[in-house]
Amino acid sequence: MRSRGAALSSIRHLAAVVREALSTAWSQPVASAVTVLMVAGMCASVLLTAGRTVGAEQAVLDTIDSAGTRLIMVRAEPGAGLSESVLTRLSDVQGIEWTAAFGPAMDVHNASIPGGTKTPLRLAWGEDLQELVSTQPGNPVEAWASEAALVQLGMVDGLGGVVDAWGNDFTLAGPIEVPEHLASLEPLVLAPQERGTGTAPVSILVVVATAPELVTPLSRVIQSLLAVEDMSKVSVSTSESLVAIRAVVAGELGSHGRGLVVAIFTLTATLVASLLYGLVKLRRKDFGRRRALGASRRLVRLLLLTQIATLATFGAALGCAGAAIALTMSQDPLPSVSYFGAIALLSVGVGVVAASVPAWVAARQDPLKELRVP
Amino acid sequence: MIEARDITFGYDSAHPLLDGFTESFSRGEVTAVTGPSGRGKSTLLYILGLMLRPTGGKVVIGGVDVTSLTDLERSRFRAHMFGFVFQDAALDASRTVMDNVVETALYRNDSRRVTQERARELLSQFGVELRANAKPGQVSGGQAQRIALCRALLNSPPILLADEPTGNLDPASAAAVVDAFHSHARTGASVIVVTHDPGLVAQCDREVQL
Repeated sequence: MRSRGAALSSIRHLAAVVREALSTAWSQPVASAVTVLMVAGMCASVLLTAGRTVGAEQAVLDTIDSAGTRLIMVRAEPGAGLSESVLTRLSDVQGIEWTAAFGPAMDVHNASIPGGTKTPLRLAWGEDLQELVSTQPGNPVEAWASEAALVQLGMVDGLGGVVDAWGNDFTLAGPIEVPEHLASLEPLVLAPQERGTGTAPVSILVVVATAPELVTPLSRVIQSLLAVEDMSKVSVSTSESLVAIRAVVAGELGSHGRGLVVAIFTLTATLVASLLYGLVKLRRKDFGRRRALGASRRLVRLLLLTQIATLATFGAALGCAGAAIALTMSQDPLPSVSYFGAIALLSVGVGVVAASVPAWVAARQDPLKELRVP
Repeated sequence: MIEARDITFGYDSAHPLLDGFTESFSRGEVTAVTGPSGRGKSTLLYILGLMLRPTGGKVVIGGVDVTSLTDLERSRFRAHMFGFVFQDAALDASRTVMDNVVETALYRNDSRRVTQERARELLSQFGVELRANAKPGQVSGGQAQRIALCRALLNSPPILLADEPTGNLDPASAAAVVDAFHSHARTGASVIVVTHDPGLVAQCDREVQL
């Protein structure tokens, strides 16, 4: 009960401090406006320079990533001994975002067009395939085709049947969206299979890592879990060179952006500190009066820092909004929301740090010196 | 009661401003501290008000030696135990009269809403209630000093310290201030006034000369 009372008292005191800080800021419109504009300018400058670099970096990295920086593809020749049981062994491996196994290609053609264009169909295993197809109980569709495969099969309406050389037929539907990591399998016709005895042969295993830097270690782990009879008939391809390029791009542009951010923040922190120092010196009599009337040094510091934090928050919001509008209008890539948030937070932090020396000076004003009339 | 025991203070140790000053200021009494300029009247007031540490001696309030308290403790003491009236009112020109009067509520962690009620009563008592929303620059010197008095009396402090409170006032305003001192002393407070004004000294209960 006592601690609850103390907590309520602290909250009430904090609310009173914030109220007093806001009132003080409101009563000094010019100084407050200059502080808000400086922080807004700092925030906008960072976002329009380093932020634009980060946006461009993200766009370049997205382009590199779309080329498959996280892709690991295992190809097994007939007789290699790779089976769909590999998915079971991979299920406990960390760092895998997507995986599926595909059987050897079987040539099929449109059942309605005898002698039609042959297109490769692959039996496929893996729970992640569910995001590509819509298999439901009672759904008669047994195979799914991409747009390119449908064109090749001559199925313009996206429905029909295909048949292989041995007379096995499959009802087929499409088109399905082919993700980047399966683009090399185009024209794609896949027949999702229930996981069975684990002995069905697999010719292609596709694994997507959760992050580019995991590709190299993950490819080693995968090779150790293939459990093939003849490793010479298996090839593992990764995009390590793309990963390396990605790292260089991220490192170069990232360090350039960081340098800019530090320079702009340092400059603005100096300006804010100078402005506040001048303001404290102009209002030293007010701080002396506060001290004389019972404000502790800590409270004087807290009042000034709260005042600056409030103004800086307003300035950061203004700067972020302005930069977002400017970047959108110039059709430049926008940095992420979290980048905006981080810069806004950092701007407020820089404002508060810059205010700490003037706040210390304000708390040290001597009432005797400031209040005595000669 | 507030006591100064053997207080010594000086910027030059060879010529101290106060040298062994001892005096008790009783409750219910208005005491005038007088003396020529430069004898340390205001300095004594700031020492008694815990804004300045003496180089020697003690300040005792209610039997407690407050000389060696930390800065934070001295701030709390000032906020809770003292009311101050300065020579030039020392109001914040950028805030309203009401804001100025209730300023010290924050330092005592008092509710602003409750304190504002008390502030309105005081402003009314001193005839400046209609100026509550004005800025200090919009009121006369006499009104400003009465507003400063309202601020000093807001928490009914046991000790009221005033430094040349009537120095810039017309006789009517000065009389209102002196009346307020006596009213406050009758509540059991100690009132200590530093002044050069013989008229004001004559109206005090006691005079201490430096």
